[in-house]
Amino acid sequence: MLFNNNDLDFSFFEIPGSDFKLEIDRNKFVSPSTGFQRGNMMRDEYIPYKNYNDVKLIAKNEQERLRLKIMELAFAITDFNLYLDLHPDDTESYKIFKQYVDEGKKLEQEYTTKFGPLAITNVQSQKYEWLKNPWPWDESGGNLYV
Amino acid sequence: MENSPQPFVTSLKNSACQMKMIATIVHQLTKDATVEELEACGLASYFTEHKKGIYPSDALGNPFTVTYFSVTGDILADISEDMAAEQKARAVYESLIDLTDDEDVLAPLLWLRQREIVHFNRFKELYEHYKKMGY
Repeated sequence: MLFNNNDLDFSFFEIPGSDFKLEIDRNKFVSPSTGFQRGNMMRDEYIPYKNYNDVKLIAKNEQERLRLKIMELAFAITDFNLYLDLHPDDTESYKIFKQYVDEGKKLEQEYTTKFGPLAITNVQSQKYEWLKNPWPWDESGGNLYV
Repeated sequence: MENSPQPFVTSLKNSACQMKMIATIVHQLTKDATVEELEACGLASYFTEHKKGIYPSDALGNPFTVTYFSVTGDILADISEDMAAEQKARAVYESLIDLTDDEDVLAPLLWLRQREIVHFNRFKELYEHYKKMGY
């Protein structure tokens, strides 16, 4: 997996009729899916440990697929945040950052409508659905103690 | 950016998230263990005090404390301290990786180790930034 990543697969972020795909390829960052898998968005800073391979998460259904994309984008946004804090004048990187933020918002909206809230402030539903979510440490949903 | 505390704040937030991930791993590993199994793993004392609750302590049982967080108020000294903390965390993650063969534990540990590398590099850039400013 380490040497078989999908670094060049930007189809998810391809915008028809724009050269965004080429633009990101030259960039100092890897794609959100590769970055999330590695835990590192910076192309030149990735240092694997011994001969361990990083692990690709496999989504089992539509809900997981959508959540994985949101997690990948949220992760990319975090690393851009750290980078842009120190390079606020890098307009090229800021442009990519904005694309991810917009895409992430759109997907979060889609997820929230289809599957319920990801954040306490996602209040599309008529009733309080926050507790129904499985939490990261749960395997059977978040309503065990309520 | 100039003299902004933002990079520090972002980094603190990231560290809190790492604690949540480790706490989740410990919870998932222990939740179905019997008392006998915990005892066999050398966790009898832990169980006595905390049952299966998550109590933050180091590998030798020393509880988490901020006593050892060093803040001098000297910006270069403090960022060097942060850089060292990232390196120490990376080294401990590598020990944990060496100690396990559980794939579900390995994957997040490899990921968290990589975060320390990224955080170290950002702190290093911040150090250079302040250095250039004449601190």
